[in-house]
Amino acid sequence: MNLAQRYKGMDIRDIAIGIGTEIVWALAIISIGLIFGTILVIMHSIGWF
Amino acid sequence: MILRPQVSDLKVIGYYTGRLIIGLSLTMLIPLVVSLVSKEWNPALDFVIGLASSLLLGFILMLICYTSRELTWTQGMVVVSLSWILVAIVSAIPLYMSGHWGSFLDALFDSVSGYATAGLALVQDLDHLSNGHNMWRHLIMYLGGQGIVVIGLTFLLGGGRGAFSMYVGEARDERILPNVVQTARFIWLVSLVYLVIGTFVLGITAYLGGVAPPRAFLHGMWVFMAAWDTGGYAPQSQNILYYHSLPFEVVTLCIMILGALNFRLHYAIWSGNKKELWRNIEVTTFSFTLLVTFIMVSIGVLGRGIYPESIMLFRKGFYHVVSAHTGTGYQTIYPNQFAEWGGLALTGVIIAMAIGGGACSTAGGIKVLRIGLLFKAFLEEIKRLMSPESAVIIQKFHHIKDMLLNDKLVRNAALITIAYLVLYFAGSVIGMLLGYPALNSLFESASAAANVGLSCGITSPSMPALLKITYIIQMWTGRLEFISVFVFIGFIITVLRGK
Repeated sequence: MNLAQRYKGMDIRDIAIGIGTEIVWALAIISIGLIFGTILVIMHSIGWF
Repeated sequence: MILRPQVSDLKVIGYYTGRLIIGLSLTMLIPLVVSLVSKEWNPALDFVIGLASSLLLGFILMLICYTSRELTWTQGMVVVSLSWILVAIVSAIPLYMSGHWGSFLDALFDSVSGYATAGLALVQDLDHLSNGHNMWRHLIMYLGGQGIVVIGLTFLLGGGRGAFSMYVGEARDERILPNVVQTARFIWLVSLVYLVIGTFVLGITAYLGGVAPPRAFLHGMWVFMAAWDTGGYAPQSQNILYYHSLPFEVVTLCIMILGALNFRLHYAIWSGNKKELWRNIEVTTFSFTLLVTFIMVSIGVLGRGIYPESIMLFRKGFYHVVSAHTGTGYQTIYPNQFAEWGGLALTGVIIAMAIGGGACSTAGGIKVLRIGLLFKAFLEEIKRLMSPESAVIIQKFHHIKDMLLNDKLVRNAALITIAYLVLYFAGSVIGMLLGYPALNSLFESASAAANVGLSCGITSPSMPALLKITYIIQMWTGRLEFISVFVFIGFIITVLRGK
């Protein structure tokens, strides 16, 4: 039984797109963390907290 | 009334436990091959002895308890709890024989920590551990993350009547595909595809960072296994700090986040439903709680003058919040450096650890799905109080599909959340009784029970045996999410009391 039959029509292309989407999403979360951290450092340096 | 188990019930439990032990024992062939290829003869002998002992135990159980009966629901739950204990014990044999663990209890601690994907470790002189034993430590973590029952369902047991109860007993209450065996195989498909990609990317990153090619590949594979399964073991005693590499840290961050995703969510995305990443209650809850805990940590450390540059805050503060929230436990600082962070930052890390990652993922903790459901229920209650008595309030949430928030879901989420909170608290009380500071005790207890593995310095070979046993129980109970453990305890009591 091949992959497509076993997982309801999911093929190699779907998997590649899925993995790409997930990695982009994870990198987006990491980038937001970096940006947010930078904002907090700036806020701290000007004495907001 | 619960009936006293008959001999035939015990035989079914023994037979299936024996099958699982044999299946897991065969995975010792992998570190054995690694030892032989690396020309590590003494470690190879450790694995031959470990393999022989565990196969013997498995075959004896299967022979004595031979039966053709299928598992019932309760028996399936008992098999899960019992197998996790016995598999951890036999897996500790080659670790103990290496001489890198001070006692068999220490080796068992690391074995349980590996299977539970916690990552707390009592190994000594890790930097000189053989390739074979390092392979075994990380393989244990990789197997434990997917779940030993998932391995059994994939390769050994088939999808009998009791298969689903064993699957649920291993804290995987979501079925991805209609058939539980297909579900188990899909979990392995995702993990193996990412193993290939992750090993390649981490291996290249380590090589570019200066690690020699054969080691770079092995380190890439081991670090991937522990990051994907949100475990936290590393081949060097300095953990991820050893690599001193921003790209390596970014790649491990990426793997930790993906490892904490629900396998059902992976299935939805791989099936073309990309919008699920923005709508799913787990993703939104995870993003929100990650942000809140990162703010707490940032304010805490910046207020104490630590990591005043954004890149340092990212590499130390954000990295550990992600490591804690996904339940991984990778560190880029020494354990004792957490003492410099102060109360607010440590509390932020503890909250992140306590919440954990996605349900039906490799992560531990309360799980973001339950936190999201409780938050929705809280909002619903406020709306109800503010609305006229005759108003009908319906609360929905999106998890793969739109679902109604009913009392049963909220009750289940609240019960498991309370059970986790009690477990965190109980471990911290024992830590305090043994003389450790309150916040440090809570930190280490939450780390063990939520299967995280971050340490503020308490976990060490010299800590009291009582605390080692406490953390072993916490890791085991936290990984299985209570239900099968409670059924196991109830089963033992019923056997002893006769009713």
